Amino acid sequence: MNTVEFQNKPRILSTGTVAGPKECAGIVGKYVDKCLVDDRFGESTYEKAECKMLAYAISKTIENSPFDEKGVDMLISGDLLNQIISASFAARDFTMPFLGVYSACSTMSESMAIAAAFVNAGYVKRVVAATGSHFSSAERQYRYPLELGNTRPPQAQWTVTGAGGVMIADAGSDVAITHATFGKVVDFGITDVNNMGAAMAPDIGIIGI
Amino acid sequence: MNTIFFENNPRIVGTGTIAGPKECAGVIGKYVDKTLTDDMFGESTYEKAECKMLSYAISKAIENAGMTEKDIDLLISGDLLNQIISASFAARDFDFPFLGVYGACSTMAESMAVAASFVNAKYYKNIVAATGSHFSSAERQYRYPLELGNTRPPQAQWTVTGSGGCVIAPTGSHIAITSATIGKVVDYGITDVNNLGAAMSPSCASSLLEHLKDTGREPDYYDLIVTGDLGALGSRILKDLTWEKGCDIAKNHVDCGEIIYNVIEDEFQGGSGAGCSATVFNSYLMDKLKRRELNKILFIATGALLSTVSSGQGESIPCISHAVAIENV
Repeated sequence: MNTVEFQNKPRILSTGTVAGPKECAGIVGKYVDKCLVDDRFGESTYEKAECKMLAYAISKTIENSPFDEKGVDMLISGDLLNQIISASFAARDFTMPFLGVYSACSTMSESMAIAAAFVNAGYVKRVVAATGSHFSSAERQYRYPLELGNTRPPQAQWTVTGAGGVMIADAGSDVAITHATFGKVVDFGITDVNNMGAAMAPDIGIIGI
Repeated sequence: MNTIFFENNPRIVGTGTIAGPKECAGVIGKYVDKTLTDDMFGESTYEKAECKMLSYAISKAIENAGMTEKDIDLLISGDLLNQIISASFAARDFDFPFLGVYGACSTMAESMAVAASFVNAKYYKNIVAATGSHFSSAERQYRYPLELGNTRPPQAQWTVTGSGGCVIAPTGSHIAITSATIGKVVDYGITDVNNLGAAMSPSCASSLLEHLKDTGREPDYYDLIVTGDLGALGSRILKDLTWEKGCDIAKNHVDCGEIIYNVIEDEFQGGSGAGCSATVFNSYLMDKLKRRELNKILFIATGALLSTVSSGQGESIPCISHAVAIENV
């Protein structure tokens, strides 16, 4: 049994989101809290921009709830950069305790699952779970310098520039997290780093909302 | 209130440890399950050796708990390498769910805190928490290629080659995890990547003081307040920082990094790395708990949340420390 059932039904109280220009041209454009026109977000490096987006998503999540920073008991976050620097440096801006997690692009559901588990058990009242990524910081860390102008194979994907967070609380909304299934590590032997879809499909992590 | 109290007293029912030759020449040598004579552990790269050590620690902890892989419900692990590859690749060897965490060298306490939270809330029965590090993989990722032969400054520490893990379960031993204090990120503006003791000690002081405040305890409640890898210098800074706040830990504080090596030569301030507190706690200290020579321990693993990119971009070093109270019940 890998599924945890949350009998006290922890709620999603609020969310906060920010995304880049390319992302906002799509389906999320009308719904995010902030659309960036400049994907550097006024910072000097892409990594600092990624961190600032994540800090924005966390702040905005808190702002969109009836609580202030003092009312949040914990932050659970992680990201794609080495040593999850976006999350760690964003956490430095806040006064609540921080739990760093890493599971690459599954971080949103991992952090929500832990947050819901902690709220459901009554350990804490309100937790913010958040993550984000940036095309340009991911590209130069995982692939090639952008200046090289490498072509991309057709099975490739495009790292999203954006960050999102949720506040999970013991009460206060009609959206509840009811179950979480923690995933196993599955490896079907795919070695093509440009074909993450094929590599990830055999593994499924589920969160019931 | 940053402290979680575990009223069901989740127990530590088994541990598994492994360490390199340099580490086993020191205090943990008699207590670890396996001493490596070859720090490559028969693998072709240091990273693969680190992963194999972590895998060994997980398997050994399960075996020492008198369980099989089928009894384990969840693995919580992380490490120092980019994208925590040691933990992720070790998790691939096992058929239970995996929760990846990252808290740099505070990973042992972080994973134990989350595991105890899950067991206490009865989400799962048996959870393995584990981490490790390797001198040579850390050195070439965080610092310089070993072949360069760079000299090390006197404030530097030496990353421990070793891994440790424990099985946390609802019953089955007299060693319980009674509470955990989740740390805040603290940054006093230290930018010297060779002086992690100075960078981490303020976060350690923060978590320790927060823990004592939340629990209403005095430092002498604990037989031992053991920190992760502050090193000799960081340990002295911690004593000063807590002294300033009216909290005297001089009598019962010890740092895993300061005590792990037998002879301090190139290691200068002592050991560091996620494997430092993981091996010292899961071997040496757990033995003292089992024999009831120590009965109440506050285990505070300390982590520096820097990366080569953040330091290269001129950032200072944010740090975090998580505290876990372990008591004989």
